[in-house]
Amino acid sequence: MKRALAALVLFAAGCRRVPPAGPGASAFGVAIVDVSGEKQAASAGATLDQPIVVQVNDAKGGPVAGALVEFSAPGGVIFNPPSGLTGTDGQFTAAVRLGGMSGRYSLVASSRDAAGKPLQVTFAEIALDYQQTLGRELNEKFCSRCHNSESTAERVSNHDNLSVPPHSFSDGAALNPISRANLVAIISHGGAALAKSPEMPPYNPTLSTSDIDALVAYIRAVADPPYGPQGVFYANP
Amino acid sequence: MAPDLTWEGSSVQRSWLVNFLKRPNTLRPALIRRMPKFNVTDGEANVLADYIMAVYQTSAFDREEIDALKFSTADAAHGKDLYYGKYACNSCHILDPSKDKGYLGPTLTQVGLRLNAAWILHWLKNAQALRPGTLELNWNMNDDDARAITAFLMQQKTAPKQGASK
Repeated sequence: MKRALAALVLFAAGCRRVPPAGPGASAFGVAIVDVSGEKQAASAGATLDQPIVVQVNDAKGGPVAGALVEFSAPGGVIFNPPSGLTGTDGQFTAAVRLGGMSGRYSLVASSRDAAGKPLQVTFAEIALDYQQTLGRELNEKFCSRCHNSESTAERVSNHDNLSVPPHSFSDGAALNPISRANLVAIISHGGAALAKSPEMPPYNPTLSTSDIDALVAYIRAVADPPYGPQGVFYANP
Repeated sequence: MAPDLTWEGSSVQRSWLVNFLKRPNTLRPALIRRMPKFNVTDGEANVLADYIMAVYQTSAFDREEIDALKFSTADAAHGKDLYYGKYACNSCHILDPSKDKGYLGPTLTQVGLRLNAAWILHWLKNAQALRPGTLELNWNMNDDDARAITAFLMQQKTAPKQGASK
């Protein structure tokens, strides 16, 4: 009898490790949506500042409590917790530690509807290499006070006080077309040097050449849409 | 948390410092933390000011090396052009509260009562050498431009409004 009970306990414990839709989920939604945590940047191998939050909704768009959510991603990304049930607000939250390689990570949050059909939402997150991380630190100190329109308790934004609103560094549509050389020139010599706003001051020699290279690397890393090779450029197409 | 005072004695005018110690107001609009009012007596404020003026001095320059009275109105007018034009100081500093909006750096409405001319000149040329890591850039400014802007800034002596200092 004792042995049978032990076997039952072991069996039950084993069962809990089988992830798919069935066990655990007490409710099912028809859609899974992202709530927050998308498009963050952190050093490769570091934990994102904000957790990622998803919500499972029913057919009317209302939250579903007790639905099973599982996270998955390539390349050594660690979720804490990796899966669980949505709360009474229909939401499920996980901290994310990025993989050790720099670059973009596509994270997937999945659930299932009552028929077992998979529901998915993806998150793009950015892992920064060493140079890009240096660029991020310089951005925090020198650039973000004007280029980030959000204020925090520690850093009041000057963005809205300027006559020409500075671009957010993630504004890929505006910044991707600017060549590396021109970005370096604007940062080094100020906006006026390239017929941009003179409110952008020259950071040479406050920042070194390698500092400015790091800033450009950071700007390219967080661009949205992503910065990529523009293809072969022919002078006479 | 509070500003670096290493060279404070080379930077400020003694009369401003005594007033500030008695009634600390805020120089930086974006700053949330404020210096507390310590309710120092006149005597204590003077002793503190003497100490700061005597001890916290840089050897890089003499704070009395420039006589602000020798600046001409043409110097100051040229400085105003540079302030609002070439260097766009108004992006970060408020000098005329009716139109300037930048609030990263200290307010300059009465900077002519607060700082001495030599400090302003050397600060404009390379602030990073005086306070490494400060938000003010190393402008690497030439002598003529720095002199003109110093002349303009030394004219700024608007008294604070009643009740504005808290």
